Amino acid sequence: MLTSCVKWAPLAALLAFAGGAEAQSAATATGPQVSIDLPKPWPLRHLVATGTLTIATTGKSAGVTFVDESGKLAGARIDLWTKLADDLGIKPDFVVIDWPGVLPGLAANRFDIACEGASWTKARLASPDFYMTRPLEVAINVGVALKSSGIATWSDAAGKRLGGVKGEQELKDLLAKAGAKTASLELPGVPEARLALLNGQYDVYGTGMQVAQTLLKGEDGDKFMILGEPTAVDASGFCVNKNEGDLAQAVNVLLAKYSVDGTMASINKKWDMPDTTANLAKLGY
Amino acid sequence: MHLNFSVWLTRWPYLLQGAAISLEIVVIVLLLSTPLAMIAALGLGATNRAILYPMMAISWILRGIPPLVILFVAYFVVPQFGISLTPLVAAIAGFTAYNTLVVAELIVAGFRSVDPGQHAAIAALGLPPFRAYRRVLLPQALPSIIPPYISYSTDMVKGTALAGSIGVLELVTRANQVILATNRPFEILLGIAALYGIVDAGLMGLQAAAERLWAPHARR
Amino acid sequence: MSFDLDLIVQALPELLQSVLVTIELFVLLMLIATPISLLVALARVSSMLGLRCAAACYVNGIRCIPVLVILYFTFYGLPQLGLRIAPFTAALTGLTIGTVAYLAEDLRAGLTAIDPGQFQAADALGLGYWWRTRRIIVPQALPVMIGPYFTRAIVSLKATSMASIVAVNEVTGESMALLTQTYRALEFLTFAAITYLTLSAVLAFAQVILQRKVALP
Repeated sequence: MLTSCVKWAPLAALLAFAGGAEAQSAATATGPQVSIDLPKPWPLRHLVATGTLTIATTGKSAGVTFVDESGKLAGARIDLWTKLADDLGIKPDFVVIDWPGVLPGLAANRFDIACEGASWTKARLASPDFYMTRPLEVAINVGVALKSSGIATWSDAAGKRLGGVKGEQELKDLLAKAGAKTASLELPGVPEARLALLNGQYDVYGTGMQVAQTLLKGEDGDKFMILGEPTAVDASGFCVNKNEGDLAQAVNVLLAKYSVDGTMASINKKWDMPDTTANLAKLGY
Repeated sequence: MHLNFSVWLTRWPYLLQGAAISLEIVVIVLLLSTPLAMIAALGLGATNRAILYPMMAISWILRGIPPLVILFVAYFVVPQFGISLTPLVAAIAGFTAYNTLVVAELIVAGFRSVDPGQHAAIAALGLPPFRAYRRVLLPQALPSIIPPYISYSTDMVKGTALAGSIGVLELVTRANQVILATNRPFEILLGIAALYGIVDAGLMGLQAAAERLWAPHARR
Repeated sequence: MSFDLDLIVQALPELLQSVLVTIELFVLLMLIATPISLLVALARVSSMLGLRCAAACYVNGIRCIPVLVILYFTFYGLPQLGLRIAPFTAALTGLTIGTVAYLAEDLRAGLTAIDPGQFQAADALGLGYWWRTRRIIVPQALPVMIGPYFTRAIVSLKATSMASIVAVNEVTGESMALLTQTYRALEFLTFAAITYLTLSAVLAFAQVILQRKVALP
């Protein structure tokens, strides 16, 4: 895993100080000026292609990684990965690939880094196939319903038809929150989940806050509402190739830097995404 | 359902590029797999069991496993043996392997439809096997090979959608990205159905022409 | 990437359930599509122009449209017109519409393999259409049709995976969901591959037996 713990410790202490709940004021407060001397280019010895950060992304997540009108990849994660590659002193190479191929490709040493935001779970943190980076956001999972359904609180949702994207943690969280055992409808993707909800084919859609906000902002957005309380709150990070402990460490250092120096906040602002830096501090990051 | 096709005004170059990639895959796969299938058909029709049984096993596996798994093997497993394929080449290799065996089975079935007495007659006349195949057996077998051959080709056109899982940005993968970005699933799907329709209609035109060519004797 | 059998064992109830759904979908699909396809194939070689054209339009039209699009409109489009269809019904309907077109074309190829003289002879003898179809044409076409029929059946078996687009929990969809859930691909892809291989082995076995039974003299 992240091998050089010794080298890490003092830096982590500094970052924990700077990245604490008082991050904003700490940066401007009087005190010793802290500067970190980062290598550039970072000596990464196990990259899939020398001098290149090979990134697998689906291009199918609104605001995060998607194809814009001109057919180019865009989104908050695309910006973040590009910035990461820049600071590592290498070139980003985006491989746009459908989800079923992402993890096999990472395990087969085809990509250096993948997943636009994988929830931290004990199985994933202990995975033999990839390293999970430190969290880059706090993921808030919610339930979405049609306003016309009359469902406003979780007590209204009892006994209703629950659904979401098949296999997603967000759907599992919805079921747990509503105390249901099985979902009524398991859809293949976000567009289908949206359509079926709009069609009234099920009642409550378990999804992430980011997706939910995109639904509300998009067409027919005024028909949806987010149920008051979230279904779950957890942390999510990137997945890094298991041969590249050095890359995982470099990414962790840079992500910590970005959350302190405002890079993360400005990228999130640019893409109209909620900034969860302050919440990350609650997890010790 | 209020259809609004204006999404195509800005998105068409991106989607048409995908259509071109899909078409490229189909054309190359058909060009490669058709001659390969003729060779594989010899193996599947062989009387020598040392050839027949392994061929049957290969055919069963390649036709039996999901094509996605074949693509994964081509893109993720083959590189472990030192041959690194680009996504497009891996997709073409994977689809070619699959289509070769599908078409080989059709060819075997087609030749089975020719009266067995003819095989005996050819042997008795002492015709060289290659000429016998080309001049006597093939023209008789073709009418029952062509329709399913075109059917499987149109299947292949739509099957290219799977290549998105190994990083080939073909039509359906792009369409799904655009659907996500625009929330216009029906308009995008109708558009790509039309694009597929054009390619498939072309293939069916070929079928009609071929059937006229090889079945000049009228039915009734 | 190591193989962790435990993951499969833990998910076995869901996986086996999804295998049953795949089998159910496939068996129903073939039971419905086979007789309809045979009728469409016969219509394709019928002497009645109207019938021939209608069948040709159906077969060629459907072969031009991705089944995915048919499924999408059936399940997500019809509710907007007030018609709501259960996932399994939508999947079965969409797959049947597609399979019939393809299978009819495969079967027609078998029918065309019959010497046209036989049609004329049957006509000359004044044999009724159904009698002649059942007793003369189909029995002769059968040995030729079996190969393509089973090749198509195997393709249709794998095509049932498209049912996950309309929220049917079949093997491919379930395996992909478990991949998403566990972030492990090898185990579940292997499970799906073995399932399809086993089912297609059953089909291949049935093909061999049938081919022996109806072999040409």
